[in-house]
Amino acid sequence: MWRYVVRRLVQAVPVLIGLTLAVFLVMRVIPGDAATVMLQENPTVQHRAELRKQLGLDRSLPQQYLLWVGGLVTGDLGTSFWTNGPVSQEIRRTAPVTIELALLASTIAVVVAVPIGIVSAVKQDSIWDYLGRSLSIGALSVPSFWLGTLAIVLPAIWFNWAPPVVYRPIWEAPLHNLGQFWIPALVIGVSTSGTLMRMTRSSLLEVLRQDYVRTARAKGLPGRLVVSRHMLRNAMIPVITLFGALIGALLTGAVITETIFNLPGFGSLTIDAITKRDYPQIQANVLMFGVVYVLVNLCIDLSYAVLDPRIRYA
Amino acid sequence: MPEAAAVLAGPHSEPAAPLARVLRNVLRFVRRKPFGAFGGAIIALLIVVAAASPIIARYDPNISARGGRLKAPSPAHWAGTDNIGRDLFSRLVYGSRVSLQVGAIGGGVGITIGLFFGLISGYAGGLTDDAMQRLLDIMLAFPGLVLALALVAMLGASLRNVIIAVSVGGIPTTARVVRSVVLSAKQQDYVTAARVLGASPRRIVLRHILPNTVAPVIVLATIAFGGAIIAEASLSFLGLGIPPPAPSWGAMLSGPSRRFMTQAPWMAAGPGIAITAVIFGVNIFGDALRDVLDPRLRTV
Repeated sequence: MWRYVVRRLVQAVPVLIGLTLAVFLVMRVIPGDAATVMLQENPTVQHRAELRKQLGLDRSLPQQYLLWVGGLVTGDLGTSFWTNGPVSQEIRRTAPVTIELALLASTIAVVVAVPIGIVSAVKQDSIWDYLGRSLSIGALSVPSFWLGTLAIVLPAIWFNWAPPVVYRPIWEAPLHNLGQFWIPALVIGVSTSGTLMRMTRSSLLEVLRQDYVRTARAKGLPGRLVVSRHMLRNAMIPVITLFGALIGALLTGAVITETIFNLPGFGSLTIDAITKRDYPQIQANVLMFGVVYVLVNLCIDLSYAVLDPRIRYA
Repeated sequence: MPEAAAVLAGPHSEPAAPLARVLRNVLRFVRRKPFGAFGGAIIALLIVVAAASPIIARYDPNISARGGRLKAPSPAHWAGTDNIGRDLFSRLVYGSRVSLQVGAIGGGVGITIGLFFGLISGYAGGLTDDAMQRLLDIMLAFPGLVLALALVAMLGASLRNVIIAVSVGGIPTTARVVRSVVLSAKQQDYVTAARVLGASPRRIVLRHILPNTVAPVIVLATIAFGGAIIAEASLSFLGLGIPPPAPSWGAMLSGPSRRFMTQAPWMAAGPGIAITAVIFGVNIFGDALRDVLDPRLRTV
C-alpha cells in the first residue's frame, strides 16, 4: 500500500506545479495590480512605479514566477503585499474557522443525507421516497446566500435574536463559538446534503439487486441488517468518492457564508486577496486548497480498500 | 419488455408522424415518472415565460413605475416594487431570459467542451490521455468560484463573460464521466468489429462510441444547467455578476434586496423562489431522465 501512496504523491507533483502556473498566470492577466489598488485607497502615498518596484511587480513574469516557486521549495509561501507579513500567518489565522465550518457542515450533510437516501432507496417510489427526495433536492436548489441571509434576518424579526458577531475560537469560548457556527454550518450542510442523498439513493438502488443481497435475505437476515451490513458498505464507495469532489463545493459555500456571517475564514481571506490583488496571498491560498484537495482524495481512494476488501492497492 | 417489442416492431409498424411520436413518448414519460414530468413542466414554463416576456410583463423592467418605491405586492404590482420603484414581476419575467441563457449556454458550452475532452482522452489513451487527465486534475484542484471570479475580473462583467466564467465549472466532471464511458465502450466487440472493417478513428468515435455517452451527458447537462444558474447568482453576490440594470435573478437576489431585507422582504422572495423552483425542476427532471435513459437502472 505504501508504494501506492508514494506513487500517488509523485503523480500529484506535476498537478501542483501546473496549479502554481495556472494561478500565477490567471492572477497576472486580471487588469489592475496591488499597486493600483493601493493608490486608489491612498493616492498620496507614493509614486506608482516606486510602489511596483517595492512589491517586486516590475520584474519580468518568469522572474516573478521563479522567485515564488523558489521560495516554495524552501518552505516560504511568500509575503503579503498588504500586511507585509508571511502569507502563511494569514492562512494559519483563518484556516481553523474554515476547517471547523467544513467539518460541522459535512457532519450535518452526512447525518441528513444518508438516512434519507437509505429510506428513499429501500422504499423506492413510495410517498417517503418522494418526500425525502423533494426535501433534499429542494435544499440543494435554494441559493446558499439567500438561505444564509434568511437565517440571519428571520430570527432577528421573529425572536429578536441574532447570532454572535465577534468570532472567538472554539478552544477559548466553545459555547459562544458553536452559537456562531451552527447556522452557517447548517446552511452549507443542508445544501451539500442534497447531492449526497441522491448519490446514496442511486448507489443503494444498484446494490439492491445484487446476488449477495438476495443471499443475505434468503438466509433469513433481518432487513435492517441486510441494509446496514451488506448493502451500505458497497453503496458507500460512490458516496465517499462524491464527497471528495464536494470539497470544492464546501469551500465555495464557505466563501459565501463566511461573508454573510462575518467569519474570518480562509474563504473570505481568498476573496479579499483577489479584490486587493494580493498575488502572494491568492497564490498561496489556491496552492493550499490544491494540496488539501489532492490529499483528501488520496485518503478517499485508500478508504475504498477498507470498505471493500476486494480492492487492493499494490 | 414492451419497449423491446416496440423497438422490434418499429420499422414495420405504420410510420407515425414525428410529432405524434414525440407526443406519445412524452405521455409515456409523464405516466412513468410523474415527479420528473413535474420538473419538465417547470422547465417548459421557464422557456415559455422567457419567449413571451414582452407579452407577460406588465411594465418595462428597467424603468421605475409610477407606483412608488418598495411597495408590497398589490394588484397593480403582483410582486411589489424594488428600491427604485421598478415592477418586480416584470423584472422576474425578463430575468427568466437571463437565467435560461446562463443555464442553457453556460451549462451547454461546459458540457460540450467536457464531452470533446472525454472522447479524445478516453479513445486516444496513452500519453495524450495522461496529459489530459493531469490537466483536468489541475482544473479540479483550482477552486471553481475563484476561477470564475478571476475570469469575470479578467474579461469584464457582462452577460457573455459571466456565461463564459460559469461554463468552465462543467468541464472536468463531464470529461471524467465521458472518458469512463468511452473506456468501457472501447472494449466492446462492435467497436473491434468496426476497427477490423477499417473504420477511421473519427468514424468509430462519432458513430459507435458517442451514442453511449448520450444518457450520462443528458443527466450531466441538467446538473450543469442548475450549477450555472447558482454560479451566476454567487458571482452576483460577490459583486462580479451581470451588471445592472439587466434583470438577472442572481443580481435581484443579492444586490440591494439584502439591504432592504427587513423593510421589503418581497424583493428577495421573488427571485429566490424563482431560482429554487427552476433548479428543483431541472434536478428532478434529470433524475427521472436518468432512470429512463440509463439501461442499467431501468430494471431496478
